[in-house]
Amino acid sequence: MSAETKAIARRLIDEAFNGGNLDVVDELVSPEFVNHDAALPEPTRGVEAAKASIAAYRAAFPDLRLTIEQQVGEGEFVTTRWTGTGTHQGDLMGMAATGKQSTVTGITIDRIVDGRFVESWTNWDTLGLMQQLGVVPALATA
Amino acid sequence: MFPSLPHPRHMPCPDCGESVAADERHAHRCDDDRWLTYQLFQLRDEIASLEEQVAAYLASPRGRFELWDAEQRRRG
Repeated sequence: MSAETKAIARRLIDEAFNGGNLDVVDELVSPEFVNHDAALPEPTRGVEAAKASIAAYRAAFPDLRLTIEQQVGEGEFVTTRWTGTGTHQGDLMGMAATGKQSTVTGITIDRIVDGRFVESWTNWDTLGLMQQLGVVPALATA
Repeated sequence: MFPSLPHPRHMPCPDCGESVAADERHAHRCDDDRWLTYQLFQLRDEIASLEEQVAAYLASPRGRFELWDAEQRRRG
């Protein structure tokens, strides 16, 4: 079971986030899907919201590349530790494109039932992204 | 003063925009193509504005005369 959930989680990352194929979201995401993204003020729900979220990140970072660093599966749940890299070439959360490349890390826990995502929880380095894009000042390093 | 404030592990190079890990920033060297792309991206509004200004000038009476004059010179 855990091998299957890992493969499904990997497929969404590879095909949708990295490849821009949003049709795979129809296949892999349940209509009852609830997404908890630390960067969003409230959970989003449903397939179209999932597509919109992926499309928004890809519009802001057209060369977006999520690399899976580690996956741990248990029953219906799979945890994915990932690193995301991309060049900020489009609006993101009101931030105009900066042309800067950024690298952030995050951890996502997915609940997958009958081959489909039903709920996800993601915490990622939103502050680090803001600092890298120059929206929030970063302390100078020694 | 704020010793616990986080600092991201990566920061974009201020010259070429490449994401550089903190422990690699001293060894970083800008790729020429990336540097040029990044610099042009930073100037995109000015470049677009300049093109608009040139187009507007060329559409003005004086600009149209200069275009006509340049064409006469080109024909010899």
